[in-house]
Amino acid sequence: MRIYRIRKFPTVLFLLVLAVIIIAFNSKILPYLRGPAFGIMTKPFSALKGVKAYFARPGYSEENLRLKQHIGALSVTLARMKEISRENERLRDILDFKKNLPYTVITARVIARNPTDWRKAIIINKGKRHGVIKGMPCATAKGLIGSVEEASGDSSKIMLITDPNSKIGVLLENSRESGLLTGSPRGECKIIYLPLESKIQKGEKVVTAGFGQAAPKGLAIGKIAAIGVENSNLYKYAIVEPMEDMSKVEEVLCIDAGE
Amino acid sequence: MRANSRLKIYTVILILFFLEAALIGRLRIHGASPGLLLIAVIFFGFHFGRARGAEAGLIAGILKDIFSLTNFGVNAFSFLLVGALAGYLRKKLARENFVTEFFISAAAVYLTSSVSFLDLSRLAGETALEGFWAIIFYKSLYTAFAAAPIFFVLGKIFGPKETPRI
Repeated sequence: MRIYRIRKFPTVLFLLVLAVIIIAFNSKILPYLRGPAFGIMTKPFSALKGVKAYFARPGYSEENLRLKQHIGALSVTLARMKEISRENERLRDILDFKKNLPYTVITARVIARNPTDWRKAIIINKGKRHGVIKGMPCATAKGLIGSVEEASGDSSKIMLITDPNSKIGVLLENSRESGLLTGSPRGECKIIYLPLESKIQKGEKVVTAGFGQAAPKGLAIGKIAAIGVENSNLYKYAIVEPMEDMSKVEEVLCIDAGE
Repeated sequence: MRANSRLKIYTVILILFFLEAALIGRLRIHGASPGLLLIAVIFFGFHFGRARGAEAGLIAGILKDIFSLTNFGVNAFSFLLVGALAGYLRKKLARENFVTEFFISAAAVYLTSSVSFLDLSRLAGETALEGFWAIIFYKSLYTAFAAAPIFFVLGKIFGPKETPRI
């Protein structure tokens, strides 16, 4: 038993020291480890999307459907048509939005989502090779959803506006008040540091303020859903309902807003 | 431990990781989803002992770190702790059953979340952390309820517990 303890203890200790080293030398190890590993690990997700796309080809599906019973075939076709129609609608919206934007945009598909519940991120199938770089704002046809946090060769990680660490300068469209939009683990957005005398109203549209590189000015973010006063009684806050349902985002536009 | 078992452990970790990243995120209740990888790490700790539990925890945590926004190594560290503790507990527990699996899975969620909370509070500050523990409460319940079926499936895959070599 004593030998067993001596044999096993160093393994656990070694692994523990390894984990601590990883955390301690995070910034030095990160570029060499996380980027390439992220690139490799996203390959199966992209492949899965590819397989899905292959089976969704109209010719292939129709050929198979002819072999099935008439009612079954009709219902499957109907379901597929509905899905294609919905996708078509989304892509048309994105195309319109893309046309109206005075910036270069990169269209990407969502291939995976952040596996932790308190951080809000999505993984897309475009990376450095396609021109995606860290800090790029990302949107859908409805409005801003986040910014690129990490880009590898063929995939990127987007930090959503609902993430607790996301901070974006925003402007309220009617009252012209500006504030700082931050996310929360609950997945809601909140504007903090609003002056007590500000005359903001429920339902008012929130747009990007265009401060720094985060996003071009005027991109829609959401609408004010609730207003309150902070416990300190120094500022007001506003809960924002995002324009886009983050759990349903499937296509993303990465905006190259330039300098 | 045989190389075959190690290969099986890594395969299970990879499958559960892909499930968590591609599918489980869509099944959130009150913003929380079950920690499948965490349950698997506890299982490996119970089944193979603290060294393999810690090893499985480290691998599972690194995978989570690659895809998440947390500081790299935070999940690796907390999952490693869970794996090692589960391995330590396997001989201390009077018997392993649904109730122990339930409570240990719930406790493991609180342990890993506490490490993440420390990391996140350093990054985001107090204001942005509102509702964190509410999500963790739901996550612990969700994970605890998911533990029994996953333990059952993994038990079928890995067979009877490995006894430590003396």
